[in-house]
Amino acid sequence: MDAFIFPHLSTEKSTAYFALFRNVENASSLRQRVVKVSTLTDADERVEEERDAVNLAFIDARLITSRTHLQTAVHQALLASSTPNGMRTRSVHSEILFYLNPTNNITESFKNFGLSDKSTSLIVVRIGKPVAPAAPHLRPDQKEMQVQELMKDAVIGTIVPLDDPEQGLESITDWAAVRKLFKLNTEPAVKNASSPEEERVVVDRIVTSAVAMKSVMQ
Amino acid sequence: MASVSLQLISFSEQISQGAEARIFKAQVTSDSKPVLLKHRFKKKYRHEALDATLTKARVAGEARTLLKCLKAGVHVPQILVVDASEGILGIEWIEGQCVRKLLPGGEEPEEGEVDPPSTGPQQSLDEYGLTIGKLMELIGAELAKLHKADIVHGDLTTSNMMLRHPSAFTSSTKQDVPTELVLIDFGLSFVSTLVEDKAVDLYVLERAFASTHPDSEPMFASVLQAYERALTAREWKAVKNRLDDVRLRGRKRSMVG
Repeated sequence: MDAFIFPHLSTEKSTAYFALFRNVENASSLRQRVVKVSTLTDADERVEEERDAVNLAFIDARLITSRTHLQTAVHQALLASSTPNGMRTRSVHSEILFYLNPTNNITESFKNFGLSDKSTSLIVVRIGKPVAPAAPHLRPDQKEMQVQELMKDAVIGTIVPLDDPEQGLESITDWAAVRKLFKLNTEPAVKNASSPEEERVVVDRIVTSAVAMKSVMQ
Repeated sequence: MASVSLQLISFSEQISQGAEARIFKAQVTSDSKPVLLKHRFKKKYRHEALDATLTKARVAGEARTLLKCLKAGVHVPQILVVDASEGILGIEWIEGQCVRKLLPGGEEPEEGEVDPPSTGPQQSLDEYGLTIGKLMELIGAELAKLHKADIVHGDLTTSNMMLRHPSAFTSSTKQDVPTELVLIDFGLSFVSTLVEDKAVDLYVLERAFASTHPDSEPMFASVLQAYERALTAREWKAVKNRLDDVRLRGRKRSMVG
């Protein structure tokens, strides 16, 4: 499965496994499950297991413009999580959604980039360790398989490679929605683009840069 | 534990060092494109609290200007990493050459450059499919876009402009030139609508040309021509008149400080 490996980060955060799911069928029930898990208390039965099963970032793939865009959001979220009091949200996974959003409103980040009942294409991210801490003997590829199984247990859909020219991200990104969300339609760089291809390059560069500089946004 | 972004620097190659910052070539993940890291290191000569505030404000300022430029269609590197509390700004690595080295007189290594990379055979303008005249047009057009967006660079020199190498340039569809002029180092930039600030910006570049490249007058004149073409007659007249004033008195208007 696909992953970003950040050699400069501590071991338990150095790997961000991710997968692109198409034709997602259970968005609504998955969302309800995630909400339910967040309200569980430590006293509840099998609470650790349930929390681990949905300890993932679910990102609406339509608003992701490139691999670099995704990588930048994950990396900035990891930088924040490695700084004391650096995070604005409660977990590194929600921090990714926060970094993707153009404003500092957390609820809005979830609404724009998170799981919604209508989601059909999702990028699912899992930071760091393999599923069970009990398995330090696993080889990296076995860990990957373990994470992939965990994701497949949560999401009902088809995994496709992110970079696949036909089925991958390129065919999913909703450029009009991205331009609207980031209010780019009136910007000279977008208005003066000489072709749709150039416009996409320009929008991707702006959106990726906005994610990177989010922490110092006005 | 040392900060994560400092750890990233320790894995990277230092390219250059100035008074304000060190420049590194880094890689965020093993299979991604290289990133240029600008590290505004701790200044021991300043009070710690002041140093932290200044460093953070400067990283933030530079990042904000870059984003403003990207939205205005000015060619600048995209932003990839920001860790303001450590003074780190990571931007796209641009494969190419700075304009100074492509013009006559600009060959000597600059102060601070680590181990002047013997780039093998000297890269020439032909390699970028440009003549000096065409290059000056690109510069003028880029500066016009910058100033139209009310951004003042603050340190325009031929060292702070790069050409993307044609082999690393793919995006554009209008292919009259196989390269792109990219403005870099917005460390002294600010936002201003004042004609004075824009005129001084041009004046600083004129002086940089004169001190670096022999016979620079015709070169700078073509920069201004291209700049003029991208402005309205009114905008140009205001900047032109003010530039003439600045030439007479120098860049400091008030004569204090």
